[in-house]
This record gives sequence, structure tokens and C-alpha cells, in this order.
Amino acid sequence: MIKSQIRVYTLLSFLKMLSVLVGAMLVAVQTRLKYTYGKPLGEDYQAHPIGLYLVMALSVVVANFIILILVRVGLKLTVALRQLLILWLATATTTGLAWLFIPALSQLQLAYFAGAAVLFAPCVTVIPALWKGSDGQPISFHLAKLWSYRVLLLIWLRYNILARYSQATLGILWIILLPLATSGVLAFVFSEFLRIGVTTSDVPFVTFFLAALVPWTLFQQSITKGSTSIFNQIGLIIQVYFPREILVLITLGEALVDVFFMFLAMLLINAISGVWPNWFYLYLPLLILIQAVFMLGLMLFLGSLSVLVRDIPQLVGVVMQLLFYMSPILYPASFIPERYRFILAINPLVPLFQAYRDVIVYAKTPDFSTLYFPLVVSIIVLFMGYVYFKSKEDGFADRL
Amino acid sequence: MTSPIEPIIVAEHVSKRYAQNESRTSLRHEFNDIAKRFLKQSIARKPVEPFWALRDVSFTVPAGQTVGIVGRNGSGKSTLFRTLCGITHPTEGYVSVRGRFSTLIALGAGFNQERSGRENIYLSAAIQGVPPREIEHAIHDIIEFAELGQFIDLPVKRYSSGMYARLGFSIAVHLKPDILFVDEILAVGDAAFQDKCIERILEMKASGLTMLIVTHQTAQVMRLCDRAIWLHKGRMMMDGDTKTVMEKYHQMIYETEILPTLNTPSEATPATTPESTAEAGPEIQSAPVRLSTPDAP
Repeated sequence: MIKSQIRVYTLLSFLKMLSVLVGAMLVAVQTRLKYTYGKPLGEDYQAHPIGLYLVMALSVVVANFIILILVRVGLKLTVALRQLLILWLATATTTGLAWLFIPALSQLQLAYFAGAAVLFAPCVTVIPALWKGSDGQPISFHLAKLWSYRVLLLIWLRYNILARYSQATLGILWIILLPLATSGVLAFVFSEFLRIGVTTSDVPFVTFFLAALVPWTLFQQSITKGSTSIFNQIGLIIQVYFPREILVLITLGEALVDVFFMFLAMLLINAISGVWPNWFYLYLPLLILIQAVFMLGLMLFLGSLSVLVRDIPQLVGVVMQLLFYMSPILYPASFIPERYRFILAINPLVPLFQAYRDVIVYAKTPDFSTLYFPLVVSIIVLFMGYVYFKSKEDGFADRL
Repeated sequence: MTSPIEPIIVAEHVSKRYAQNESRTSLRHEFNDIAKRFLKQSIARKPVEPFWALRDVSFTVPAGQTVGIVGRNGSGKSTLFRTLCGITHPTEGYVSVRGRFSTLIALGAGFNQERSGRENIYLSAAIQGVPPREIEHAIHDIIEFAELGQFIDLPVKRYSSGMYARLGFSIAVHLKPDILFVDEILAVGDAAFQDKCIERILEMKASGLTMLIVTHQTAQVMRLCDRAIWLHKGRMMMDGDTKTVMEKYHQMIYETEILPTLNTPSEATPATTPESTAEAGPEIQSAPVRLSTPDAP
């Protein structure tokens, strides 16, 4: 059991390092495209050729080995410092190898890449290690503990879902009926009474609307239930010890299952209006993952804050109402006048909804350069939410 | 197994503080506070009166020992248990518990009301950190010990409170713990089942289990414990062999509680604390028995 944990840990740390390098490269590409100093970019300019990613993976492996040998020889380092050195070494190796073997790559971009990677490295290695929970243990300790409780998470989630759907006779049907009714009424009102009509008249309004409503429902349900998930379980928290974030994870899992049924209902409605599933649905897991990371961060933050300030769930309800109308769900983003566009720019959900629409309605690849913002925001929110949750966790049993 | 001399539970200078005003958790209170501070800056904020539920408690328990913790209501017994179980962390000091522990504090905490007793065995075990494959072989014993028979496949919401507690007890003692925390619940079900529980606990004790027991029933402490710790208002008054500690403890109760009432016999206030009146279930007849009803989430 311990061995398998170590293997998972190694794999995760490898993926972490690789994702730092990939992230730095994405930043470098964007910077290079925005600030085109020096040699102008040609027609056939390749921003990130596939070979580059292989070079990165290779560099991380090589850097791991070099540091491992140094540690064997007798270099004394903490885990965080070791990972930082590996990352910096891998950055240097990648830059060198790419400069030698991928001449198509702009050297300016490589410089941007190296700069970004060197700066990002401490953010994922040293800073999380410096942070300690309310019991003085580092973040990795808490994550290992959560991992050891994974069985509980699965059992609990399964029983909760089974209990929910076996209770009502119409169980699943209710979940499908609600979006059917909502979208039916809204589509009718907006296409017959208000007559705004979506600019792209070749897609039915229902399809256009549902493609954003389904992810929105996922967001709204998770956040609303997540903010009460901790203090709904007072009885348990003061009596038994288990990693408290499991409560939040269960809430997220339940919301995902609920919305899955809603997604099926959406497929049905789309089929009726003549829009069929397409191969680009393969991008959906990626979009859901970004959204789930974002939601999890918010849920951890709001869930622990609600224990200290009991009005938070009511506040969340109000904010959700406002956010529904402020986000381009009922209308396309192009309806918003130029001077109010900044509202869209600061809402990380907007590019996500746009991407969902690209995939479900227009059957095309989502625009990845716009997804970079939600991705970064999600990861930061998750990290900060988790840190906040862990620092308040000790107080849950005392405050409730 | 760890050697019996090596301590399995260590508590060093453990203190736990609760701030008195921590229950105020509404935005209204916050705004009030802020407004007051802005309006009347001269009036300083009322100093918060801290309440020490535990104060400088230190002890170690070697593996295989059974320790009884006694004390009046509010002496910090439950807080000590929560600290040892990891539910809260001590404000000061250090706690270490080696090995797998199981708690007989809240029987049936975390049961899913809609699911069957059998499924709740897996769930309850998982909450205490035991994966399903490790409990698989004990399922039959658990059901038999709880005397549930065919009811095991009914949803637990249909169980009587006695069945509920019996199942909870049965799960906790079958998890093969190294340490067992027992808080005032050796009073589950009817007299016959209670005897069975005590038998079972004595059996586990004989097989080298370490136990910490909180109870108000002197007879149980005398029967089960090798050693007793006496807490009073969060401080440790005495730590020693059961007989001596219990004698001193009863002497103190007699001197501070019973003597004054004897001198002024105007009111017939019972000396035993009437804490358990509201909680007694319908099937329990004898007066001092307390059935812990788990809070259904």
C-alpha cells in the first residue's frame, strides 16, 4: 500500500513539473505573439511543435536523475528545494535542447519561456512547502491523509447518490424534467415574445441556451450546496475525525452526477431540434475539469467561511442570481456593448461558457488562448481555497 | 505489537482554550462591532474572557493498559477525548496516539439513514479509516453480535434507537483497533446486551487492547480499569491506581456536594446529577442509565 502511494506521488510530482514547463511555454507563446520584437514571425511560424513537449518530458526525467544522483552522493536538501532544483535544471535542459534541435522556434520565445519557468518554479515547490496547516503539518501531509481516505469518499458518495435517487419514485425523471421545462419556457418566451433571436440564426435558440445553462447549473448547484456542506454535518464533525475536505468533495461529486442527467436531457432536446452529438465532445472532459477545479476552490473557501459567518449561504444565493444575468447564458457575448466588455474579461466563467458553446453548438475546437485565463484563475483559487480551508479546519469542531 | 512498556498514548502539557465569544458568527455582529469601534473609539473592545477546558494535562499510557477518566460534568473529559482523537487540536502542548483507534463516543455517527444496516457497516468502518476489504470477513460477526438478524438489510431509519446503538457498538469493537476510546456508552440496549458489551470489552482487554474509558459509573471503573485519572475543571487532580483515585474522588464529592446539602436540609436536591433525564430512551427502565442518541445528520 505504501509502495503504491509512493508511485502515485512520484507520478504526480512528475506531472506537476511537466505542467509548469507547459504553462511557461503557453505564456511564452502568448507573449511572443503579442510583442513581436526582433525577427518578424513568418507565415509558417510554429508556436509550439509537438517535439517540444517530448523534449520537456525528457528534460524532467533527466533532471530528476541528476538530482537523485547528487542526493545519493550526499547533497542534503529538503523535498521542496530538491524539486525546485529539478525544475530549474529541467528548464535549462529544455531551453538548451530546443535551441539546438528545434530551429523553427523563435529564440525570443525560448527566452520568455525560461524566464517564466524560472519564476513559476518556486510557486509550485517552495511556497506550498512553506505553508503549514493549523496543526503545523505541510500541505503534502494533508494530501497524503486525504488519499488514505479515498475509500471513504467513494463509499459515501455512492450511498448518498443511491439514497437520493431511490427515495422518489420518479427520481431521475425529476432531474431531467426541470431543465426540460425551464429551457422550454425560456426558449418560447425569448423567441416568440421578446424576439431577440440569436444573431447566428442557423442554430435553434434552445440549443444555444442549453449549452451554457447546463454548465451554469453545475456551477450554481456546487457553489450553493458547497457553502453549506460543512455546517450541515455538525453532528459528525464534532464526533469523528476524518479529513473534512471529503464533505466538500462529496458535494461536488453529487452535483456532477446530477448535472450528468441534465446533460443527457440536453442531448435529447438537441436531437429533437436537429443538433447531434459530435466528435468535439471529446474536449468536454477538459472543460469540465477546469470548471471543477475552479468550483472546488470556491467551495472550500465558502464552505469554511460559512462556519465562521453564517450569512454566507444567503449571500451566495443572491450573488448567483445576479451572476446568471451578468453572464452570457441567455444571450451571446457579442450582445454586450463595447464599454461593458470588461465585465466579461474579469469573469472566468465566460470563456468557459464560450468554449462549451463552441463544442456543443458549433462543433469546433474551443479557442485555447482564451481558456488560459480560466485555467490559471482556477488553479490559484483552488490553492488559496484549500489553504484557507486547512487553516480554519481546526476551528470547525470548536465553532459549530 | 508494540512492547508494553513503550507508551502508546502521550499527552504533554495539553491545554485547550475556548474563547467565550466564538459563538457570535453572524455578519450583524461583525458590523455592530465595526460600527461601535468607529463611533466610540474611546470605548475599548471588551476583553475576551478565555475559558480553559483543559489546563496543562500530561500523562502517558503504555500499550495494553485500561485507563478510566473520571470527573464532574464540565471537567474537560470529553475535550480530552476529542483532542486525543484528532477532532480538535490542543491550544498548547502535544498529543501523540500511535496505532489504529476506534471510538465508542458516538454510536452510529455518519450512518446514512436511507441505506441498509449492512451498507452502513462499510460506511461507518470507512469513516474510522478501515477500508471495506479489511472488514469483509467480520461482517457476519458484526451482525450476529448486534443481534439484528434479518433486519440488517432494512434501512437504518427504520431501526429502534436500541438497534441503532447496538449496530454502532458492534462495528466499533470489530474494527480490530489498537486503542479504544469509550465515552459513557457502556449502557447500550437492555441489561443482557450491556453484559455482553462488558464481556466483549474484557475479552479485548485480555488480548492486549489499550483503552480509555470515561464514565460516571464507579462500578464500571472499578471493574474495567487498571488506573484512573481524575480531572477537575480542566486540571489533572490525580493519576494513580483505580482504588486510591476513586476513593479520593468520592471523598471530594462528598465534602463539596453532599455535606452542604446535609447541613441545610431545606431542599431535597438529589446529589446525583440529573443530566440524563431527557435522553433516556423508551426501553430503558433503570434511572442512571444513559443512552447516547447519535445526532442524525
